[in-house]
Amino acid sequence: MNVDRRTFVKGMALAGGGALGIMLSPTPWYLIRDLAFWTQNWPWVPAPAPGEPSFEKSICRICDGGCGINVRKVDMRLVRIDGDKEHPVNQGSICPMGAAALQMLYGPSRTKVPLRRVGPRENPEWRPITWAEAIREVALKVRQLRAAGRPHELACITNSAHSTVNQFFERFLHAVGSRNFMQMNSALEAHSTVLALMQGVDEGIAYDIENARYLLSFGCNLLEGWGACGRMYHAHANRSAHEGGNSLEIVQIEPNLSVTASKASRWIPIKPGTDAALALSIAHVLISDGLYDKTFVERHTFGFEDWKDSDGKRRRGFKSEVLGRYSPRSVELITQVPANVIEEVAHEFAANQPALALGGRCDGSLFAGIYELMAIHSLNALAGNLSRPGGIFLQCDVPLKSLSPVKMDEQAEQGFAIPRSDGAGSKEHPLARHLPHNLDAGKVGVLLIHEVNPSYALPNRKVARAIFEDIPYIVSFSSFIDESSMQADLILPISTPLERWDDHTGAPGIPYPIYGLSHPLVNPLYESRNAGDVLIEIARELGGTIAESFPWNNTVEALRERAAGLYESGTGVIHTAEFSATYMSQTATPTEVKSFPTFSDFWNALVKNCCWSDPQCTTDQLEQTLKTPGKKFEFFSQRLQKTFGYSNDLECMPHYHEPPPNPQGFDLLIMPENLITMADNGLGTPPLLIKQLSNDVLSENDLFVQVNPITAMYQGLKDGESVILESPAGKVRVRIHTFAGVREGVVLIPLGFGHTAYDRFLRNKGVNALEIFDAKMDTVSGLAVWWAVPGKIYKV
Amino acid sequence: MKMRDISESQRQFALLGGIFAAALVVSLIMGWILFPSLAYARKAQPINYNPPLHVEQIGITCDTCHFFYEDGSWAGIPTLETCVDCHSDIIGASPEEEKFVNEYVKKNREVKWALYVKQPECVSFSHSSHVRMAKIACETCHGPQGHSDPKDYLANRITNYSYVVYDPRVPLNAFTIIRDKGETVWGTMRMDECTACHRSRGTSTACFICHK
Repeated sequence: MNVDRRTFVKGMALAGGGALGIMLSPTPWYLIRDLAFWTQNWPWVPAPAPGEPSFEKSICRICDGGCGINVRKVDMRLVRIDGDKEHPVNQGSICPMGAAALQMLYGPSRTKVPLRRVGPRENPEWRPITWAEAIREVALKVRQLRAAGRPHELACITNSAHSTVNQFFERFLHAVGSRNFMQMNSALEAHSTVLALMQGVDEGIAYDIENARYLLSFGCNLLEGWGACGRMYHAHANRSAHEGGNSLEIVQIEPNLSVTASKASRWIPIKPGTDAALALSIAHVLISDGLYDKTFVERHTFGFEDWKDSDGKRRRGFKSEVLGRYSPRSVELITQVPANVIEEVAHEFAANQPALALGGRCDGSLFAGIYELMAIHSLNALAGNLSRPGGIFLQCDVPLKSLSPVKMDEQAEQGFAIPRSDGAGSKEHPLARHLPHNLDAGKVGVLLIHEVNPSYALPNRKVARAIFEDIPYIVSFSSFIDESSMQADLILPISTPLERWDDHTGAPGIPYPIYGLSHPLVNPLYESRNAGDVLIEIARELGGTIAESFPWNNTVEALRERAAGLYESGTGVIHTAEFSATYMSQTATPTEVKSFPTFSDFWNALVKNCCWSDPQCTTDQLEQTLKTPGKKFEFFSQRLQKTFGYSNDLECMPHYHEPPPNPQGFDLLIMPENLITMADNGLGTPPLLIKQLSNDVLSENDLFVQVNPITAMYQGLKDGESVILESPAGKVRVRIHTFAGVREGVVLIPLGFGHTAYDRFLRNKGVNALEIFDAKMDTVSGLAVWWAVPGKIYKV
Repeated sequence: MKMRDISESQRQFALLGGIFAAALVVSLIMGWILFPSLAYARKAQPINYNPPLHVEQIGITCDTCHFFYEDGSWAGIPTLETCVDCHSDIIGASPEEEKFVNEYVKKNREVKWALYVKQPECVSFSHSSHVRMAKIACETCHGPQGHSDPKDYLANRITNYSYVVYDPRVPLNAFTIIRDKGETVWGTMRMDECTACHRSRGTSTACFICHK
């Protein structure tokens, strides 16, 4: 169509009139307003659903810390987790992982129905099956093992929690006829070995941090996951609020500037792996300057002075050893810590009593050898800080009623007589209880994995691979699709801690007994069940003495039965809290167990408040903490000599030995780094926390390792460059971030990345640092030693 | 020739003026009548709930069903659970009551009540501070809800916001919504209405008072 001038002008008149008319009407203005309202109510923008708000208490089970939590609910939806102010462990503090835990509950990586693998492990396909089928299948596999006379080939790897459900697993294996119940090693497990050797006790170690004035931390990442996170946060936040105006000083001895080091009163950068020498040098100063607790050392220790054995042979004591070999000047050469700093720290340690020397790097689980922890612990003995406020205690037993004895048939007895497949308790590792990283996969026919992820998290990677290559049948009891589930034969969906009944005994490092009981805050979102209930059903399916060993209808019955022990003991308190009307505050009064008229009242209060504790019950008598044959603290561990038959005296005493030189070409030292926002034990990390990582930790899918700018310069590398990080065990591709807080010659690689399972927020982000750490086994404790590995770094 | 040219141009001018005027009139009619009428859809509540029956005859007050939770948060539209406290069985002979009990109570289905008033997520509106602290009566914002029986409401097709009148003499249509909002027509308050009230009471109108 031809538009001439006249038509155009007519068109303009029409448009002009129309436009003016519309503009003079309310339509455009209301349209703009309505469009704005529309954008405010887009149905795809998530908005919290209305409902009745309430608070319920529970126990955080992200780690074994046992922190108390308050969960805000709106109707039946859990919306927020806060620390429980009344809980004795964390007193209101909570770590980021605990606060973000709801994202795991509602996240996309949950297991929803029982799944059976079809196809090979490398390329699995999953077919949903019913619970009845799943239980029949597990029972059938166990029955086949027993029929073949190999009940001992049933094994279980579970988490390190002291819980009734874990007792159920142990009990189940016991009833079937197997000793192969393995718990992943807890962070403070090596410390228990130290106590066993030097104090002759089997209990875990406890530190009265709240009453201490001075913490000498040998690489402990106190604010990044050491001990119970919530407790450490609270202790740090209240460090200046001590009675009598004494504030808590933290001295961090660590090669790199970690978060703890940056928050400490003093950071002493030390040459990696020489902590034992420094500890013994501090001991040297304490002894030579007469700053140690002479009364305690004289009365309650053994092997301090030179001594004569039963044959009349003269033996060198701790004092001569330390005075002879660890003078600050000679240790300066080993540790690269100036002699005057060593002297200063020793004097401060002596002057600021009660002072504690803490060991266990990162979350506590990393150490260079048991002698290092013994050296650190001997400082506590020199200060006389055993069973004293602000000192070292033992974790006390919780007076729970024990479960009825397991019933075993002949087959079970035969299987139970066969030694463990992980070597724990054997001649080689007599002091170890559980060594999952040493499991001989060839000796296992059926493996039950419960709430752990050995495929990702076992520090010995060869064993981790062998487990999933060699074991014919693996059942994963898991709430999430993790790496281990992906390689299992059967996945049984387990309710998450907020959906189930569960309990937790003790908390790492707390000097008095604590029992946490958690109940379901919501109904299971999917078809998941409580692992304890599943075991009861499998036992019933198997029948005979196995079924008789599980006389309960469900886990709650067993929990209730055990809790009766608490009530009958008549000791301890429950912090019965009442929320005030606004929910902004709660008031709690410790109600003594004695004051509950019936068990039922006690039980209801326990369920509601989730925590029983007995702060009065500490091992405050030396006879409780010193149980060696001579009832003394042993600088010279007689148990060590008796168990291993060491002829060299040095091997029974704390000492420093120089590590072997690095293999040719590996001139750097790779060290793992704990990030408080990443789960490094194989469990999932909530997306919220991955989003908190800065660009120099994770960029897109590239993980950054930290090196000192000088190291980078020597290697000819620039900040941000892609590199290969290689150790004798393997190599990974990462990028480098230069940071002057990292010691020269050290490469710091963060843990918790490189997952191949879970959800899209976590999968394929960075690399799993464990792949390059070649875990060794500590000769004394059998525990995995992987605090560092020699390495090299070069351009891609 | 010249005259003819002038008259031709005048005619052209008149024609253009006519087109302009016609377009203006048509668009004014569209803008004032047609579009507003099209913007709203007339709907009825799923159940014809009868407020005067509840308030005037039975004597319950607003906060019997629209209550505050213990922590001060607002329950809003009651859920079925609240209704069932009284309506577990059919009360009286009303067909609506029969429908309610049979279709919702017995089947445990929540009634999808049409909301007259609902602030969007970007507004942090607290009933507690208005009702409990400032002592503003429900009627101030919601109208005489408890004393009249609206048969239907108009829902904006774009926003889904809905409007209602309680006075049977006032017609409910786009024009009354535009003209009488807050006087005889009731619906979600706009920001200018919120600020007008805040100003008249001397309350702060700072952004963060409502937009947290």
